[in-house]
Amino acid sequence: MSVSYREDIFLAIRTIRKSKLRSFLTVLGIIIGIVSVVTIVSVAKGIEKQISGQINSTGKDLIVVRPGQLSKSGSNSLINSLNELSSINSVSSLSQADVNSVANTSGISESSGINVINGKITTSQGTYSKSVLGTSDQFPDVMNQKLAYGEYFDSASTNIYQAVIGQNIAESFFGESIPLGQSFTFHGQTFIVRGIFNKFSTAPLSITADYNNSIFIPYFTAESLTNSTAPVYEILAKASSANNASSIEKQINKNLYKLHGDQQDFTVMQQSQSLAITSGVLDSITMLIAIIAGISLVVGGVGIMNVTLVSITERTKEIGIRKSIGATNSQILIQFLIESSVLSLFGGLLGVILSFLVDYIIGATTSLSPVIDLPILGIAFLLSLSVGIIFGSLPAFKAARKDPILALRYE
Amino acid sequence: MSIIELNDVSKIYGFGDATTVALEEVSLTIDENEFIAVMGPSGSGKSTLMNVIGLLDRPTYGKYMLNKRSVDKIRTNRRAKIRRDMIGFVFQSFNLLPRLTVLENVALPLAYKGVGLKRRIKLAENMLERVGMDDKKYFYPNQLSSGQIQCVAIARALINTPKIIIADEPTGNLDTTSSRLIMELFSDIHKTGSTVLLVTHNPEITRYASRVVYMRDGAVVLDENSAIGDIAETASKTIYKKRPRKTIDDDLAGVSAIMDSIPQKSPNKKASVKKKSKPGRKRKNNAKRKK
Repeated sequence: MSVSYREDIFLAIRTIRKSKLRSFLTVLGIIIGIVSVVTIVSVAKGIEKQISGQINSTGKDLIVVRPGQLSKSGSNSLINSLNELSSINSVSSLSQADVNSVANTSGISESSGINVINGKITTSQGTYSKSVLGTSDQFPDVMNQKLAYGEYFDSASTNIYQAVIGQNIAESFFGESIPLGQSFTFHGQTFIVRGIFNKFSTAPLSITADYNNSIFIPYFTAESLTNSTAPVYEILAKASSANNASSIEKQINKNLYKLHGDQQDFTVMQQSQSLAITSGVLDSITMLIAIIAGISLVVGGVGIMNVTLVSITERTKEIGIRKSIGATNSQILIQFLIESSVLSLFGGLLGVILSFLVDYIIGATTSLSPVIDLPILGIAFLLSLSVGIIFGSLPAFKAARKDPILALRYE
Repeated sequence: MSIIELNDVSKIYGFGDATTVALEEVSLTIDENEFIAVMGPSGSGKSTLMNVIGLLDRPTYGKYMLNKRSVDKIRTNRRAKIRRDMIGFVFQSFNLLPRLTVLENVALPLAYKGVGLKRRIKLAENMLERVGMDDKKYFYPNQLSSGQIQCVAIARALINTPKIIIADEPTGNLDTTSSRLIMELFSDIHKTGSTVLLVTHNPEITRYASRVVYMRDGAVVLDENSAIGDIAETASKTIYKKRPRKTIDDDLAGVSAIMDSIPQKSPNKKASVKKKSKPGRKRKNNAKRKK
């Protein structure tokens, strides 16, 4: 019995090739379903990859202190992960004292707080609304990032009104790629651009700030501009040795806990944990959207079922002949199951090809860079195969149970 | 030794007032290596009998022993397997699968048996050679003449070396030359030891048969043995007009001299039609010949 599988497959392929238009229209639903699911999953995969790339460039052992507390409910539901995300971005409970505490923790080689000040920036080109980040002079080392031009400010400098800008700012605010020595006005002070960062690797949906679009000033300048009211968005610290990052992380947590009057209104974690949280959230969202997109697969499956039902009526005579020469019911069943599965897989194949095209267009026109990898192709394969089997089984059963005599007489 | 034993087999279609009795208490014992021609008018139950014997249909009442084993209560899939291994079907309308090549058509029953691809092709090629169609193995059925198609259909029926060949009017759609060829094939098959059951309307065909069964209204009305080479006694009464043998060729053909006996077109043929015959078919054949 098993020997005839291959023939059945070839026969099904021959059927598809013989009626190309009909087959294409039949599997249109499958194509659309597969394209939606593959695109969504591949976009999510791309985002995840970008985020992990970003984190890898700064180092997984980078210790991050954020205001707010992660709800450790243990449950992995979507709502919980969304709550986790929002708690990270709540109003800051961190202060300059915390920054100093982290910096003074033993085993920390470099650290920097990041203060955020909002305001208007006036350059010779115009006025922009922008957040400015106050950092320590160790920020480039913490981030593992080099400057493309100029140099980062140091705390010993006499002029405290100096700034370093991200790549994107250079072009959009100053209209030139290397605006070294240019100046801008912020909170009534004139700042001089001293350096331009290399491009930071960024990722959509990342919970870190977009440094390419940021202006960096010394934290003490930020303090003096705002009378020390600039909220601390996060504190970054790097352990002198990656091996003891975990113990240092615990030490920082302990110190801050004491400093905050025994309140755990902050979170200390390593980048790798932050990655896990983000990808957890992303996975939940992706799953939800993919399931919704998968509904179109059901529609496609019904389309296949319809056409297969018509097809077995058309081929009643064939079924009768096959039975008369000794085909068992199960052999007929398998033949038609294989036929609908091949049809569905053919749709899946077209869908995957189309997904590559769609992903290419998405990659070319947006900041997203979708990734189609082997697991996604596996998902597409399994999805279309199961659609073919599930929706092909009703027609196949009908075909298998046809009365051979009536079937033979059918014209 | 009996290979088929039917005991008071009835087949009834429909129920209530709308019942049709297709077979009425048919009892028939067929021995191995018999060549049986089944004759009878349309609707006399010939095909139903063939379907019951061929395990395509189940009798409503009665007992059917195939090869000494009762096959009344066995399940559908088992029946399909017995059908596959023991019985070969040849139909009036050929019933080849149009989407498969000649070779694939012939090899198909082997696929259902689970024979490997290479062996399947080899067996099918041998069988096609036997029916003289090996040069057409990559053709599709619609590229062949009806006589050739029937040859392929016979090859398919023979591929599993069945004990029983059931042919339901195999020459019904063929011209006389092809009919002769096909009947010669059946004759060959019979000689190799198979049991052949052949439904026909054509009395000439009974020349090949060792026994002729006549049916009417679902019952066997007459069962006579017949010498191979001669038209069965009762069947011969349905032949309108005999033509004397003329040529040496006809004599050489032996049993195949059947062709001679088919009436030639004659102006007063309508007048010669008798009541028990199948006048429609004869007229049709003659009309064809006129063209």
